[in-house]
Amino acid sequence: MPPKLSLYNDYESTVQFISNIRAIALGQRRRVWLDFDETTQIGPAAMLVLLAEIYRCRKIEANAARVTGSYPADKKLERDLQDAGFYKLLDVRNRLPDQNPSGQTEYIPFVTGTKTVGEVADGLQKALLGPTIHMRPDLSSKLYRGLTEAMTNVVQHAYPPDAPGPRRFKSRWWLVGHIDKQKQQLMVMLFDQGVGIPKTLPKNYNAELITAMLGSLGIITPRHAEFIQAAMALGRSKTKDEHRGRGLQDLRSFVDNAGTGSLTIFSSRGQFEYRAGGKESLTNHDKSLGGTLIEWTVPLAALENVSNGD
Amino acid sequence: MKTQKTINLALQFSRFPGGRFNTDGEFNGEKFREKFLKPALDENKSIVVELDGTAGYGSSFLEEAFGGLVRELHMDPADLERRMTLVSNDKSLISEIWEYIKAAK
Repeated sequence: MPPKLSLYNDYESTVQFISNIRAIALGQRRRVWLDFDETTQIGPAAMLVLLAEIYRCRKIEANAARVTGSYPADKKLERDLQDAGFYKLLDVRNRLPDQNPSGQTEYIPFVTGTKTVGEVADGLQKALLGPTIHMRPDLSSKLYRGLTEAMTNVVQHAYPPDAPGPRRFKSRWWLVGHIDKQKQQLMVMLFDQGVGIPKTLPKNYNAELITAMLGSLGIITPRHAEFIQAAMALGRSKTKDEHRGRGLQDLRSFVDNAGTGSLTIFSSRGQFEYRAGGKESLTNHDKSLGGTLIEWTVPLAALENVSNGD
Repeated sequence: MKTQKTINLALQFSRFPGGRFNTDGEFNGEKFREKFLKPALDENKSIVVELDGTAGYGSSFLEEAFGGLVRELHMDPADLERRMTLVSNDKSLISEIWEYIKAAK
């Protein structure tokens, strides 16, 4: 395995590596052994995409060859993998104690489903923040809003009937939560292996509307990141299909209410980042992620009630 | 016809509403509209919907539950305004729902 897996710092090599797992286990039906000896770091977003791929190979695709792996030499990485549910997924024992010695949860085990399950969205933040951090009620409800809408988007749009893949694969999402202790921030990520926003956008809006929106954004030759940006903008617009277009808009409300942090959407070859305050940035990659990953990142300090002081 | 009915969404339906259609998830907007809002509006002169106490709401749930009264059941927004009272500490939530109702013609 590569020394580091990260969608932010090493996108192409990370996506290539994860794609290789599928190509070998599913395409060639050869056994995959993940050797973590040289690996010291897996970013949270890459972790979720990796977990989803292994889940697919081990739990969904009946014809996949076995995927398993070693324990990493790096203890921090072993802790991260264990806490995120990696070894449980591989059906091997956790070597470290259940409780993180630091006392603070850094990962909660990934969750997967095929419906909009509000209880999961609510449980994630409670499990992640523990009894000591009480998220502001408005932020808690906005994170709930974003997560349930993201799940609904997966169920309704991510896997159209003509999409490849076995039937029991349809509508599936994977969810993980992470506390980055170093940066003191909360990260929540939802991933699906669907066809991606650049493909679903033309099915949800007519071509004239998309063209007009791209034009209003000053985009002449749209690539995948620009299609994600257009999808977000169309969610804000008043159209005759307005009642179906607000889901993506809901994704922003958590960082908007926090007044800080970011929403990042990776979909197919595109990467779209929205920062609280309105700044947007776009990146286009060579390789497709093979789905859509939505990540919310908000500083821990912004989550709690600020005392008025007395 | 009875006089008034109060529906507490969190207590009578779910603390965890989410999704638009029955195919999206168990506690979706279509289900709340058909099982709670429609019968209550059919059988009562007025209804009160208490919205607090849930973990939150997504726009798909709200639009389908309340906007769907107009779009799917062809109820009159002005009549709904007279007969339905929404209660929440979050005033933006109430405004949002009325926006969906008025936009759903």
